[in-house]
Amino acid sequence: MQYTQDTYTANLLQQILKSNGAFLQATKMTAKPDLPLPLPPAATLKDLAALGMANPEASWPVFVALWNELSVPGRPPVLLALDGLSHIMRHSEYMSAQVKPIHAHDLTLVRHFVDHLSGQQKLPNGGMVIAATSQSNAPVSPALDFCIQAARARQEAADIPQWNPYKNVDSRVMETLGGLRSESKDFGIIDVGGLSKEEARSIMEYYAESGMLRHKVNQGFVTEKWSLAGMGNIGELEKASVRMRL
Amino acid sequence: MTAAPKKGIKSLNTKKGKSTPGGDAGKRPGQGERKALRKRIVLSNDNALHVSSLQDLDKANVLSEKNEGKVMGLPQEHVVDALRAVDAFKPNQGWSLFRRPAVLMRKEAIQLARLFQEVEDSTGAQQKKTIRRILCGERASGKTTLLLQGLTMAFLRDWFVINLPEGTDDTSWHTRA
Repeated sequence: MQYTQDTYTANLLQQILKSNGAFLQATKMTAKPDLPLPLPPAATLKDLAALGMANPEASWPVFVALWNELSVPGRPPVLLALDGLSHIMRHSEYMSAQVKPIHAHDLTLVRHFVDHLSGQQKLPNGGMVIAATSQSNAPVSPALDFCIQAARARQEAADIPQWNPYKNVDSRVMETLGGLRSESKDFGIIDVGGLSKEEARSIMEYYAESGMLRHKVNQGFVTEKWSLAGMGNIGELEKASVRMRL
Repeated sequence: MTAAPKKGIKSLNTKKGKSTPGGDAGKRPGQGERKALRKRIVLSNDNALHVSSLQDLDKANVLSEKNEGKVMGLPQEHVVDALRAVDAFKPNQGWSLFRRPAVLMRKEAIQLARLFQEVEDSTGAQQKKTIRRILCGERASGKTTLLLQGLTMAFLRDWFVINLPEGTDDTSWHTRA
């Protein structure tokens, strides 16, 4: 059973239309998709997206039709991005008609993203899928945490950790992120750590040139702030040097 | 509790409300006004100085490894508007502190640029590459900003971009009005 999110998809189509407008305007439809609403003759992709935007009940079929158009050979590569990954790696907050929680992977849009993230489906014209995790508003997803730990261990050539048997395993998430534990170059993590001191110096010089940091940027000062920021954590560095006024 | 006052007798009313004269007659915020203020994205600060040495990212140099360790500006017309349209800027990031949006090309961003280059090199080949990455790290270490840098690269290199700005919105019904 799959569930669509009509208003959300319509809103997403609106964002796509705003950000990729030039390409959509210049590209003609190649196929005749089976949509619940009629398209104008000789329609461009922009007309298609606008149709889904204006009629939320048709937004999911429109999104699928748009995706099929993007899959035609010769179209540009695609970037699929998502922030806040752990939200889609667990049960969603929706309930089914039987008052059972709906797994996030049963929502069509999430399913679409997750299929491409797991590598079950390839982007036909090439491209990238990037998902960012969050640490400030993140529900617990033990399977995601475990897979990231395993990927990190693989990168550092350390021992792969063992699953803690006292934790509930979400088998669908494990299946999706299984690629992180195998030797694959196409699927991995980018570990965003602290800045090096040269990078810290570079951004602090920018702060100073903007007039937001009133101090001479020398080695001692950079090292002090770099240490206060927990070895160059950039958010903390900004807090320590720009936001905090003593 | 005291008994209700008799008819025709005025009693002391200490409640302050809209109806009482001299009470709180201030204008209440309209529907959605406070949320709009909370979620507002400010991308420039008129009090910050213009940084003359700031270079812009453009189509030619965005994937170059020479940018490593430099702070680069985001070009206004194409990129900033598009990033705003896909909700890539978040309210609690520090964009409002500076004259215009700029990003530090840290080593992870260069790593990402290399992957973009790899995908573009494969577009002529038979087997096109799909590279998948999860950005993880400590709190406030710049994961969302790195994602924004990835979106910038994609916009500048004329890729097609689909961005799901918040995982929360995907799986709950009460965050989206």
